[in-house]
Amino acid sequence: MNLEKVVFGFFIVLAATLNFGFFIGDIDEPGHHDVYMLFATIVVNLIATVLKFGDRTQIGAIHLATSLVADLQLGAAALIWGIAIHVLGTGFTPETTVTVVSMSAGALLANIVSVILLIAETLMLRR
Amino acid sequence: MPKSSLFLVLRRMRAPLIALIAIYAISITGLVVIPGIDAHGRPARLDFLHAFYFISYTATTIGFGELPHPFTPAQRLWVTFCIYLTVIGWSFAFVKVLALFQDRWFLHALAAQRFTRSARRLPEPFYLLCGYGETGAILCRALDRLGYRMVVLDRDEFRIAELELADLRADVPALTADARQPEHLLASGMDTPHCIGVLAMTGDERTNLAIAASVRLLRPHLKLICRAETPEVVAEMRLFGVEDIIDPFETFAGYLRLAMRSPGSYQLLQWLTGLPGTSLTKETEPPRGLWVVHGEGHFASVVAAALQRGGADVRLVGAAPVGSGDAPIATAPTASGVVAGTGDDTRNLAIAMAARRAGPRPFTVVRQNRHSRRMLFEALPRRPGGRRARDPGARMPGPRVDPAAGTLPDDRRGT
Repeated sequence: MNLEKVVFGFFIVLAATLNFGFFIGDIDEPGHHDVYMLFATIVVNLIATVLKFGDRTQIGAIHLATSLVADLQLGAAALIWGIAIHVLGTGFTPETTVTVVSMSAGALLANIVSVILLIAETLMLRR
Repeated sequence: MPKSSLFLVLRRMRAPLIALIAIYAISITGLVVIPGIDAHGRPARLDFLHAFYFISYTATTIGFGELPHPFTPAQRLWVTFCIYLTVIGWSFAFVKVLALFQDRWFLHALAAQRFTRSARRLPEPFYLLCGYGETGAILCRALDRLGYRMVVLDRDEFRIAELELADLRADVPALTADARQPEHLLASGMDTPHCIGVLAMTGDERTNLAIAASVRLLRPHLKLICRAETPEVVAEMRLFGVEDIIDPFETFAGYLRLAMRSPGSYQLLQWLTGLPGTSLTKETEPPRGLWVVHGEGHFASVVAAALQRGGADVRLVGAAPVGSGDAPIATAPTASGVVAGTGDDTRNLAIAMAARRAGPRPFTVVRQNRHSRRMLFEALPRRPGGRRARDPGARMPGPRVDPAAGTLPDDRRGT
């Protein structure tokens, strides 16, 4: 067992699960989507991205790409949220919720791809 | 920044970046969680936007103050902690970046990539020169004058640094690398169509052989000129199909013989193969008669054989010190020529000086092993009309001829 691999797998799976946790619930129901959850998702995703730095293999490149996509989508979600509340002052309305949650759904997809890559990599090692 | 260096930077920056992300996350979470009060004393928590804003300007020591409302003591306690935490985080990242740019491996990777890019993208035909020794330096200057581009590999970084200072017309991409490794040859653009030839001129003939092998296997029809000194290596090079093999000792001996037998041909050869910008001068014909050859090994035996074939009576004196029993031969009034051909420059100079003192001055050939002693060899007194011959041509531990009545061979063939 390799501690580095444990940490790597941990952050990738945690990023996906937190993302799922934020995403799950009615898409237009503000009460189902917690801002702390989004914050945690962003932080864990950023850490997962940094962990993927410096791998020159093809699979490493795809790993990094999926994480960058997830970061982009989550960053956009947070930005939309912040603008809606503080800049426009509209508050966390169902419309805003739909946009934010859609963004996080995209990030979730990227994170799922990342997890699938992780599993595929592990299976390839087994042989 | 080149690609793999960028990956290296990213890899090394993983730890400080994760530390920074963690520190920001902890600080922001704390600020959002700890309750505060607004200007009217009502409870008001910081939201994520303001917490991130506050931490961003605090961590970078910009310090706009307590926004949007003055903090409570609990918040101030947490912020104090955050300030120290973030300063540590940024210092860690900064130190890591500095260390990275001091890292020899990293700097070499950067230099190698810059070199590869400029070598492989040379828009003109170029020669790949392996070994920027004394031979390499002279060749490099000559080819530069002739308008050829060059790419240079040498194992010694000081030689490469010297090349950077050399007064050349064209920009010469150079790298500190072992030319025995085929990938270094490929990185130098050996496989590009613009590469018109490889010159293996390192001081180590085994290295030259390795270069010959790589070139012949990877680009069989490329022009290849190799330097070799021993017959075994020459034979091995022939196995690889190298036609142009330069043996500096053989070449020198050949010129000496030619100068003895047919001075006119020798002069013509000098004229045809000379460095650009040299003028033809009157050469003094090496005399026949008794020649005393000092030295041992390949050089002495090759020169002695050439002199014999040229019609001289040769006495080979081994490595005996000048002052001992054999010395009288060196200074014998009957000797018409003296070869100071030992592997020791100081001794060669001593033999040359001893030869000068003997009656009628004999024709003297002095071998200079190290370029760094050049000025001593130049300072040897000369007979009026004698000249210091041209630079020691395409060889590094090359024979320098004759302060007394000089001829100097040159074996810059094929370039």
